[in-house]
Amino acid sequence: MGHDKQVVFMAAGSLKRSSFGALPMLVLFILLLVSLYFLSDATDNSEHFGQMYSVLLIINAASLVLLGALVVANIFTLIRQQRNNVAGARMTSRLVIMFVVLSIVPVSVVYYFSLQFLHRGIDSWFDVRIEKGLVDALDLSRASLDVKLHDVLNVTIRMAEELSSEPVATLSLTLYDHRVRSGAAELTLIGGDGRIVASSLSDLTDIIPNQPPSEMLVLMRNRQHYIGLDPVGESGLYVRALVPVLSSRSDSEVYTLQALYEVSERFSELAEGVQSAYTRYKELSYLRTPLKFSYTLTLSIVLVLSLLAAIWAAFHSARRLVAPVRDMAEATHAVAEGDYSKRLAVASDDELGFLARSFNDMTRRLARSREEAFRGRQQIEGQRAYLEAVLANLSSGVISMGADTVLRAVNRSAQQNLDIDVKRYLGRQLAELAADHVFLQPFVDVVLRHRELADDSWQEEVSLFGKHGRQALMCRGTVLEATGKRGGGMVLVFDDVTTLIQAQRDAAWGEVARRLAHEIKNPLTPIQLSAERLRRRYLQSMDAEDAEVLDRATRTIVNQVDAMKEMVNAFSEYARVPQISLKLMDINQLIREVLDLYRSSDLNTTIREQLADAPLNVEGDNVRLRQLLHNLLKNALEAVREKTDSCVTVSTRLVTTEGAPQVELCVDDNGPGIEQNVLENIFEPYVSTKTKGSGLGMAIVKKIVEEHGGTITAGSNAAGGAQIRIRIMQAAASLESEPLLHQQTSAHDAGL
Amino acid sequence: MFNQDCLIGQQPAVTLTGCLRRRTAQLLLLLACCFPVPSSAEDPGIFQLEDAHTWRTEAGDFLNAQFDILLSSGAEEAVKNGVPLMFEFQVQVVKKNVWLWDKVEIERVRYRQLKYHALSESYQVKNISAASQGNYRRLDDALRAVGNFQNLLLSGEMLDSELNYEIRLRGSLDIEALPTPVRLIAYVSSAWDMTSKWYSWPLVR
Repeated sequence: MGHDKQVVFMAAGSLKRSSFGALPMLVLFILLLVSLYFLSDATDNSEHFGQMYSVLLIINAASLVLLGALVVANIFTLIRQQRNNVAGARMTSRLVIMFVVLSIVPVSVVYYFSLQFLHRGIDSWFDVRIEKGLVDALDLSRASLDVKLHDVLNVTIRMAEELSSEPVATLSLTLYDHRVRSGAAELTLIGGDGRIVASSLSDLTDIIPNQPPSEMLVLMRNRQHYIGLDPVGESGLYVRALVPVLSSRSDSEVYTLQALYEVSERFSELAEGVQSAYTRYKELSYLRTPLKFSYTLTLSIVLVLSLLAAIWAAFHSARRLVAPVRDMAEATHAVAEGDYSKRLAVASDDELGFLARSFNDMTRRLARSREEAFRGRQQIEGQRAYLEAVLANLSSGVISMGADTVLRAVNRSAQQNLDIDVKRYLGRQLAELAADHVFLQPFVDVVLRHRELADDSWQEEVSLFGKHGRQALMCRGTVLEATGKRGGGMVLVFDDVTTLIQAQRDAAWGEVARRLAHEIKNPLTPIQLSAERLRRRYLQSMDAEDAEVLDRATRTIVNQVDAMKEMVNAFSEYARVPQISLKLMDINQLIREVLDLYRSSDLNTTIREQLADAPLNVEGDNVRLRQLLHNLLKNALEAVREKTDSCVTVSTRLVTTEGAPQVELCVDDNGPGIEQNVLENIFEPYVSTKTKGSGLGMAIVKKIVEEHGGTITAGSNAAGGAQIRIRIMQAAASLESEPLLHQQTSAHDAGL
Repeated sequence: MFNQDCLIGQQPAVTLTGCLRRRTAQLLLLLACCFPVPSSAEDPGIFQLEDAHTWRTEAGDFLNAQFDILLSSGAEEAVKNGVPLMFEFQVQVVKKNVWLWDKVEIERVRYRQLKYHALSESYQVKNISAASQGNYRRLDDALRAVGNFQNLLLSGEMLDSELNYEIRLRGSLDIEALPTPVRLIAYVSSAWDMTSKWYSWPLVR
């Protein structure tokens, strides 16, 4: 919940930031407007801002560049966002384009017509008639002045003529008189070198008389006259007359008389008015084109700034408009990716606000559902973990398969019982187990056979011969009911019952032997004694014929009782729980010793010895294995007794099954072989084709082999004779010292 | 006496007005690419120092100078159409320093305004600093009056006679004083860029 609040808070914060960003821009726009106002005022050449025109132009241009950079940055950001498929980027682009088009069109129209009005307005200031009027007014002013100038020149020439004869000493006084009489404001007599010889000024505050420009003095040197209207300082218009004073004395210096006459105030005011109006009109006329340019420039700056501001505002507005939609898109994306904690800020009560509220409700419900589902899954996981723990701790091996015999699950005991890494085969066919581990073929065959038979529930014992020797597995299979898409699989539960079976068998045979001894052997002694008593008592007293019958009968009874006793003893021996003492021994050595006994007798049978070169050590009981060899050889010799070229072969070799070295002992003969019906039960007690013997020979052999943890199989060899094959684990002590004959054994060799 | 050989053109001193003018000119050059600027091929003007010399009296160091000014056709047209032109003259007395930057000890700036008086058909040259005025029938005479400086006091007793000083002199047409519409053109048009180089010579004591 806290997380939800945080998310909502962050969204609101970003919104706040974006609104805060508009404030500086608003201030900037207002400053820009003020600056533009000043610029337009300065363009008008006003006194206030005329001097600041350059500064204002730079400020506005800088603002233009800044705003342009801002807009360009926004455009680049938007393009990048669009390329990165950021939510809302395309919508923002569309809105910005729409806003820009909406602003450009009217602004451009206004700009165009403003320019037209501006140019026409400026052009309308100038009229040929007005210009002619001004020129005429100026000419009129000049014409009226010309009359006055002519009069003034004449007066000045007369004064110069009069001064020409005046001695130098009285020049000042004479000048004063002339100034008073002529009404001149200033009379100055200037020497040829430009110095002031004498002067008379009406304004007593002026000490220095107004001096003529040097160009006029040059005129005077040429003895020319000058009359003109001169604006003198701030005093208004003056008429300036310059006349050379020609002295009557030939050696005298030529002076210049300068007379300044004030123009009447009224006339001066009117003339100055005409002059300034004319000058202003001429200036404006001259400035017409630059003025158009500067107004156009100002208007263009206003246009560009407005457009850029509009574009920026378009960006800002578009982002604000798109923000809720973008948030919605991002939140939807987050929900799609499984993040249900996303909440939208409800900023308004409009449709977007309603949408945000609905979205928040939806994500809240989704989050709750997911939490419930998560809890359920946790519960299932817990149960599964519990089941796995139970299975793991079961002593029985458990393997579950699908209908396609693909392994789905396996527990630890299964691996221990089969002594391979069964987990490696999870997800693989059961048959692959047998392909990689040949000794498991019987196990796999049994399972597959029951599956083909569609047994719902079955139980069967399976014998395996792995690297630890013979192993009996009690397998139980149960077909699972089909659930959903999965067809009915199978659960296999199997236990290693090797030890149990052996114990049960030992116990059973022991009980049989005890009962036989008690029930059969005990009555035999009284029978034998009774028969012997009958013979002793009555044999002497009977006639010869009867005595012979009695003798034969009692002898038969005694012989048969002996036979029965031997039989019972033999059986007891077979059923007796063996007290074997295992010792490390070389089986080749043992075989040689036994075979030597047979070679010494006068046998018609050839006994061949094909023993491995290296010693084959096993942990075995010397006596029991010797008995085993005798039984096998006896059986073989009896089987070939009637053959002329009879031959019995005893061979040994070292083979490897599942990486475990085993000693293989084979006894082959070239006799008639074993019949099929006998072959199936050849190792059961009292199964024999011979008329003689106890019928326990092969059963004892099998018992001895099992006591040594080995396997025994009976079959036929290539010559058609019988073959008995025994495999016993090689003793661990000899593993390192002896080379192994690695031979891949077939399924048949493995003890089937 | 001013010696022509001593005239050494130097880099103009960086002033705010000059900097602003250059920046504005650059900006307007940029804008000129976007907007049509009314301009035509104009005769360039002349603004150079013709003669100058300093002398010393008890009252201090004085300068007499005469600039040779010829207005460009645009400027001449402007002044004949009643647009007043303002000329700015800068005189600097610079203390020479071998190891560090030179130091401007004294700077005098004088302004002269030239305008046409239509009624009297004469050119008025107004000395802004001295509030004096002269009227000239011919433009050439008016321009000579504009560029003429007589008895310009450079320094009183403040200059150290043991140190080396240099006089720098420069004149220019003040574009900032032009009417705003003309100023825009003047910023971008080289014909309006009437500025002499800096002339310098050692102050003879």
